[in-house]
Formats: sequence, structure tokens, C-alpha cells
Amino acid sequence: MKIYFAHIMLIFWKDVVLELRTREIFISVLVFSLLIILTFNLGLDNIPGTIPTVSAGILWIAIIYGSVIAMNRTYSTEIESGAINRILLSPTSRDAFFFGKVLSNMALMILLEVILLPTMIVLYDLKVSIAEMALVSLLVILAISLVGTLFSAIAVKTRAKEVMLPILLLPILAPVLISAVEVTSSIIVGQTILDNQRWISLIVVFDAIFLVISPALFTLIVAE
Amino acid sequence: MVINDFKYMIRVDTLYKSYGIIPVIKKLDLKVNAGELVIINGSNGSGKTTLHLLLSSLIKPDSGNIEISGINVGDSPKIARSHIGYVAHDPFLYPSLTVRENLNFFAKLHNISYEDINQIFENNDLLKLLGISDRLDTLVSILSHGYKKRAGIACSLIHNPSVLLLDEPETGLDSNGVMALMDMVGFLTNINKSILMTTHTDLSKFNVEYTHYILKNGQLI
Repeated sequence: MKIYFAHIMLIFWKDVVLELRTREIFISVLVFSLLIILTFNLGLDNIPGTIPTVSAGILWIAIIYGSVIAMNRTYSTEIESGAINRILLSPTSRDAFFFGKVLSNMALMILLEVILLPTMIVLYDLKVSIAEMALVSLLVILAISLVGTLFSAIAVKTRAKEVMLPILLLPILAPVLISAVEVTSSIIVGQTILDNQRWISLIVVFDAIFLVISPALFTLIVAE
Repeated sequence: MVINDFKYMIRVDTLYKSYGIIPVIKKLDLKVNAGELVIINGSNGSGKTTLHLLLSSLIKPDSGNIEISGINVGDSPKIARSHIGYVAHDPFLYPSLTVRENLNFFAKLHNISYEDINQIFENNDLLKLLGISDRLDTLVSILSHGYKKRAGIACSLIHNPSVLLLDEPETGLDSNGVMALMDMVGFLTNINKSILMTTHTDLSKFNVEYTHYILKNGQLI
């Protein structure tokens, strides 16, 4: 078990080092997500009363679309360099590799949200409980990372991989996104997580299901 | 399944693999002893790379049996993989990491301890033989193709495998590189490693003993 977690962390740290060195993914994702927020801000500025209602949706649209760009590149370094063959030839289990990649995607999305949320708060003049937002965001980001890391392994084998990932990902993530927007909206209008137990439960169940089935499906995908 | 008393380092029985309806490997049998160098020649598309991929467990056969160091690859692929070093046409390294970082990463994936990794970097005959001891801290992306290849070979040997699969390893190497490669092959067979190598190079000018096969119509002759 110690080796299993060591391999997960090894994959994760390797991705962190590669990203710090190349800055290939994060900068483009951040700029894209900030542009979404700014565009909506400009578009909605003159419509009074709409901001509190739609800002939760804008935040999660910016995060999910930014994530799609990032997750399209999840396995690209391994596949372009051929290093995937060395990983598959090592005694590392396939699901340790998968969870390492999930962790990398999660870290990137957390960093993205750490920048996007304060930007939203300033631009849209929001008042939110940071602790409650952090908890909701962690649950939602886990769900997006699990499903995104799995489906990018499927999409990377297809010819139109950039288009394929959002087509596969967004319908599956619909329940989580709806829940995320509902909970975030209520946090913005001053309610607490306890007032949204139904939505939170839905996200937790989604996380639990995909925590179990994603590594198993990933092992099948990379079997040959 | 681990077999304690095994005779051959590589044992292949009636191996069959097809891509769709096109058979590539047809009921192939092969036995390689410890310390033996087996050279396989064959024209393009004869199935040399497919044979390597099957032996390394990267693809599954349609039927037949493969044992590496007495371990059935189909039953225990994870254990079998720890006995295999695979050198392909391409180096399979991360270009944005240095040679040392690549070696470090793949060594750790093979569960090699931090102390052992350091010892490899400090005093390793193979790194010297391959001529990459002084390029350990160079980014792979700025290495020449020949040195990338050498670094890739070092990476395939980092976990001290008992069986080495070399798929046209001389591709992209200059004459010095090929010489270093063949010195390494001789060195490895002397320390009882079994090597299966596909090549288009005439090896008669090198001072190595080997068993020679030709892969034709999916079978060894």
C-alpha cells in the first residue's frame, strides 16, 4: 500500500515539475477562464439584479471549460514522448497511474479556482463564505477530475480528441454541475451548506461512484 | 504464477497474434537461455516489433504462452515486467526532464530505493559504457538523437532486468554509438543477462557470440 501511494505521488510530482518547467497548460487555461469571467462581466453589467443569480453559473462555466482544455492534455506528454510505454512496462499499477493523473488535474483546478474566485468576488461584488465554498469546490473538483481524467484516456485515442472530450464529459458531469451551481448560488445569497444537503449528497454520491469505477475502467482502457 | 525451477529465461510456446484478419505471429516457439544473445532479422512488417510488444506484455497474444524468468506473462504481468528491459526505436523519455530526472523517475517506478539510485549515478559501469555519465544533468530535449537513444537504453536497464528486449537499438546511433551498444550487449551477456535483439546491422564484425533466427511469415527459421 505504501508503494501504491508512493507511485501516485511520484506521477503527481513529475507532472508538477513538468508544468513548472514548461508552463504549457496552466497559463492558457487561466487566461481562457479569466476571459470567460470578464466577458460575462461586460455583458451583464447593465442588467441590474442579475449578477447574484448568474454569477455561480459563470464561475463553474469558467472552471469546467478551463478544465476541459487542461484535461485534453492529461496524457499528451506521455503519449507524444512514448514515456507511457515505460510507465505501462513498470510494475506500477494502472490505477496508481490514474490516481496520480487525477491528483495533477485536481491541483491545477484548485489553483485555477484560487485565482478565479477572488476575481469573481471583486468583479461581481459578491459576499461568500470562503470555508463553505472551499468544501463545495473540493467535492466538485474531485468529480470533474475523476471523470475528466478517465474520459481524456478514451478521447486521446480518437482522431478528434479536442472535440471528443467535452462531448463525452459535459453530459456525464451535468448532475454535478447543476448541484455545484445550486449550492454556490445559495452560498452567494447567504445560505449555508446545511440548507443544501440534497445537492451536496448528490455530489458526494457521484464522487463515491466514480472513485470506484474510474480506476477499473481506466485499467480496461489501457489494457491494450 | 512463479515457477521456481525454470530452465529458460525466455520461453515462448505456440504464440499467435493477428491484427484483425491478418496474422502476424503464427504458432511461434522460442527458448532463450541465461546469458544468451539471440538475434532476429526479418524484413519490414515481418512482425519483429509485434514479437517484442508481446514479450514485454504491452499487447496480449491471441493464444500461446510466454514465460519470462519462469514467470507466466499472462498470469502475472506485473511481476514479469520487473524482469524485462525494453529498448524500442524511440527513447521514450520526458524531453523536459534531465537524463538524471528521467532515470530517477523510472527507477522509483520500479521500486528502487533512493540509496540504490544514488549508487547507480555515482558508480555505474553501464552509464560509463554508454557515455552518458557526463550528460546526466542535461535536458533530454537538447540531447542529440544518439544521446537520447543512449539515455533511453540506460533507462531500460535501470532496474537491472534479467531479460533485455532490444528492438533495432542501433537506429539513429553513429558508429561509435553502435560500438558502445555492442560493448554493452557483450558486457550484459557476460553477467548472465539474456538478450533478444532485432536488428538490420551485420553483427559479424563485433566480438559477440549469438544465436541467429530469421522471422519470416510469422515464424522463426
